[in-house]
This record gives sequence, C-alpha cells and structure tokens, in this order.
Amino acid sequence: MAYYAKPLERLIEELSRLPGIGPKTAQRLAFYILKMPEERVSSLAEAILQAKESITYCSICGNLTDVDPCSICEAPYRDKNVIMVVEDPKDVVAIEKTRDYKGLYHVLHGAISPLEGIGPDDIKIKELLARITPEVKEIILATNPNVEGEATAMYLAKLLKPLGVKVTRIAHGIPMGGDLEYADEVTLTKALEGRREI
Amino acid sequence: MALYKTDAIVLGHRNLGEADKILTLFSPDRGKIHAVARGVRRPRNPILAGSQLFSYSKFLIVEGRNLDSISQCEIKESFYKIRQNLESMAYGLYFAELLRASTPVEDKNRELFRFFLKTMYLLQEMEDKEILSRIYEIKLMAIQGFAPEVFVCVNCGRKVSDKISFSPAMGGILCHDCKKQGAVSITPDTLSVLQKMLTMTYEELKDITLNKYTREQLSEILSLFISHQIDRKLKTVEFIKDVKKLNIKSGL
Repeated sequence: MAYYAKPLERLIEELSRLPGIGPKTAQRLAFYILKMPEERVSSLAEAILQAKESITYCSICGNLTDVDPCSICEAPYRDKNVIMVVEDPKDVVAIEKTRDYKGLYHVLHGAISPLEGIGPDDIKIKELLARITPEVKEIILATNPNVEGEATAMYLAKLLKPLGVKVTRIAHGIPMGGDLEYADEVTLTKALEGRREI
Repeated sequence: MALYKTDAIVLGHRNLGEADKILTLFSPDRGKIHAVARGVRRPRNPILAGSQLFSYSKFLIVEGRNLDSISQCEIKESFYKIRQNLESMAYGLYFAELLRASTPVEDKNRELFRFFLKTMYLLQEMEDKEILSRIYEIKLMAIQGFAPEVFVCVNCGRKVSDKISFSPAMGGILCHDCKKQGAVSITPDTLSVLQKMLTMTYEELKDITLNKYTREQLSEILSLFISHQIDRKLKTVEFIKDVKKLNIKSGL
C-alpha cells in the first residue's frame, strides 16, 4: 500500500540517500520542501544541478573548482615556490581561512590507509611528484595528525627528500583555548619538542 | 546501563556518522570488542588521544543495547614511537590486522594480550622488524591454536632429516615420502629457525640472524600458512611491500 503520493515518495527516497539522513528526517525535509515557495524550490534544485555540472577538479592542484586551473593556482600574487599538501578540499578552506598562507596547494583526495586497503597509488601522489620542479622550494605536509595522515606524511617525506626539495611538516601542539590538564601525553611531548623562545 | 572498566589496545577503527568512530579494542578481560567513540573526529575531544591506533589505555565503557560506547579513557602507553617510523608503522598495522583477523569477538585470552603487548613494545625497539614479524606470525598462530608441526612429518609422524617440505594446508613439515602437491621445499636451516621461533622466547631470539635465502623462504611459507588458516587477504601486507620498495629506492 502506498502511504504517499508517487512524486512525494520519490522525493523522500532520494533525500534519504543523503549521508546522515534517515527515513524520518527525509520525510520531514520533503514536507518542508512542499511548503516552500516555488521559486525557492527551483533555486535549490538549480543550485544542486549547477554545482554538480560546473564543479570539476583543478588539473594542477586537484582542488574543487569551477574554472580550470583554479583561482588559487592562477592567482599572480601567490608564492609559486611553496606547495602545501592536504588530504581534502575542505582542508584547503580551513587553511585559507587563516589568511596567513600565500603559497599553493596540492589535494591528495584521501590518505594512505593500510587498514582500509588504500595504498600510495590510490591517492594523488603521482600528480604531486609531477609538480616538483626546480622552482619549488618547499613542500609543507599538512595531512591530519592521525595514523593515516602520519603514514602519508612519512611516506611523502621519504619520496620527496631525494628530489632535493625542502620538506616540512606542520606543528603539533596544544590547541588555542585548550587546557594543559586535558592534553594527552603525545600532544604535550610534541608541544615541548616544538617550543620556541619568546 | 552498566559501566565497566578495562585496559585495551586500539586495533582498528572505522568512521561512523559525522564525528564518531567505531573502535576495535583488544582487552585482556574481554578479548576483542567493538565500541563507539563519540566525537573523536573533532579536535579537543577528551577521548581523542586514546582512540588513536595502537594506543594502550584504561577505558571506561558504557554497555549499550547494540554497541558499547566509550565514556572515558586514560592513556597508559601511546606507542607513539611506532607511529613515528614508516616501517614500524607498517608492521604495527599488519600485526594489528593479523590479530583482528584471527580472533573471534569477545573471546578472552590474557596470554594473547600479554603477547601482543610485548610485541608492540619490541616493535618500538627492535631493529630488524622483518624477523620480529616472522616470530610474531608463528607465535600468534600457535597461541591461536594453529601451531604448525615442525618436529616430525605431519603425515607419517617420522623424523625428517633431508628433503624437507612445508605444507600450508596440512599445517606442518612433510618428509620426502609424504611430499604432496602445494608443499614448499625448505632447507634444514629454515626448519631449524622455525623450530627455534616456535619454542624460544622473544628474549632468547633477540640476537638471531638470518641469511637472505632463509628470510625469503620463511616469509613465503608463513604467509602461505597464514592465508590458509585465516582464509582472507590481509590489506596491510601490500603496504609493507610499498614501504619496502620505497626504502630500496631511497637507498636505505
């Protein structure tokens, strides 16, 4: 027996395929969409389609972009001598928000994760190697400080060092607004190692 | 809801929802268990450090209807040194995967826990990780109840002197007369190393040295034996190969 009209059922089904959205949430969203004014609904539908159609990966850095090469790779004021390696396009956004970094990026689209069977050939390492020219002076490894990220960073470091390029790793330490009492021993050790004179 | 306290090592994890992880823990009191660590993909989470791979901590766990969840944890040993070196990390991941693959859920085994913990400590120190790996493989299989027969022919029970072969399927060595298909010929040297690895402790085996040929033979028969026993392909084996290739490339 059908509980909903066909189009509504289809909408609920499509929505419930999204991550983190169960049948109940999908139902609530679908009913909300039905109540929305028509122009907002079509603007939503258009936005989804347009994003999907126009967003591609930058052929240089692998970041998500609507123009290829992306605006970061093309920007004339950016320092072409430094490349920061990150796992995910979301990390580019996070670093960009600091407004402190003026170099280029390289997005790996994942990290080496032996437990899940993701090896060095499954992420964009070859593309990174192709970008290492004499012009590049420094590679900053900004993968996450967890097991997968560390494995990726160490793997890349071993791979890149023989090429004669300076390889650096982002610092690990106490987060701003954090509490020493609750910091774990590994973080504290790392923070001590990286202490600076003030 | 019941609470319980247990020591445990993190053997693996997978993501759950937006910010959670399901951890695979190995505990001396409860064996291999799965537990949810909520919010550990956000920074500044109090149980973040204890949820990292290999970390050995004291956990306070809440029993749930389906899955238990971790309420607090206090690190006893982070095994960070393992994570600082690519090779030891690769072997550490392999050890953890092999343990996970060969242990059923909630099967308490204190001896196995002590053995694994010791292996992890040794992994931080031992130079030759390949030998450690071979000893771990054979000893782990023995503790799990799959010890290979390496003293007499597994088929006829007679002493084996020359022309020895190892049969992964039968789980032991074969004499010349009993040699079957699928059995791999091994040298007397390899056999004596196998016997030593099975019977002696880590301390006694500390200074063991192997030539290249014995190394390769051991690695071949043990990997055949393990894949026959646990009947699945281990993903981390590929990673060890990748790391080795890299070491050769950079001349280490």
